[in-house]
Amino acid sequence: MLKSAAAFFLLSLGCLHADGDVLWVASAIAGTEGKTSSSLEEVVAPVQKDFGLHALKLEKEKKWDITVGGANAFEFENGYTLRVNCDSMDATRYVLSVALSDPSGQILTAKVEAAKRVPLILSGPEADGHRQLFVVLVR
Amino acid sequence: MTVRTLVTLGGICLLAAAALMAFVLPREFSALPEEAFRSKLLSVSPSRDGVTIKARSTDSTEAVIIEWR
Repeated sequence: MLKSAAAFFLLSLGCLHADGDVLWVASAIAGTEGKTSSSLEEVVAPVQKDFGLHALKLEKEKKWDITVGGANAFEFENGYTLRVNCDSMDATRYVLSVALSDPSGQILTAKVEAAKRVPLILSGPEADGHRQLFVVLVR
Repeated sequence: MTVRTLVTLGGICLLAAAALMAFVLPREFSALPEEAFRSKLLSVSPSRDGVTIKARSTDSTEAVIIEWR
């Protein structure tokens, strides 16, 4: 009994140890019809406000622990590649370098000072009422 | 160190952590300036000819949006 209680306490303490922040990257299709995937709920409002599109369908997502100097590239199945480097961080903010490419080469590079939970949304041109979106978010 | 000591220490640590989360952390968070919850676009540029970029917000608590065409 005491031994299991000790194990429980140790496990609890392990859980209380602050987790590192997680960098979350997702590709999605924004449109006017359909249901929004639950993991994209927090970006619906700005997308709706800016593009008038309220249905976000998740294509693929990936998350990893964020570390300074860490470079992460993610190749999506639609041919796009998103590279995210963490240049620096403090308690609440991150400086991220982002580069987006498609099969014919690099499209854009950007540097953002990212607050936690404020997303960077990269949006492609509108085609048939849909837009290709990429979301970069530190949680 | 006996198991009983370990359990007691564990209990004390858990209580201390709970107290920290209940009393200290909320005050620290509320003391953060509003800028702590804003994202800023430091730079953005097209890397390929023919690509146009529009950035919607450079200082935002909602989202930083970059559109390419």
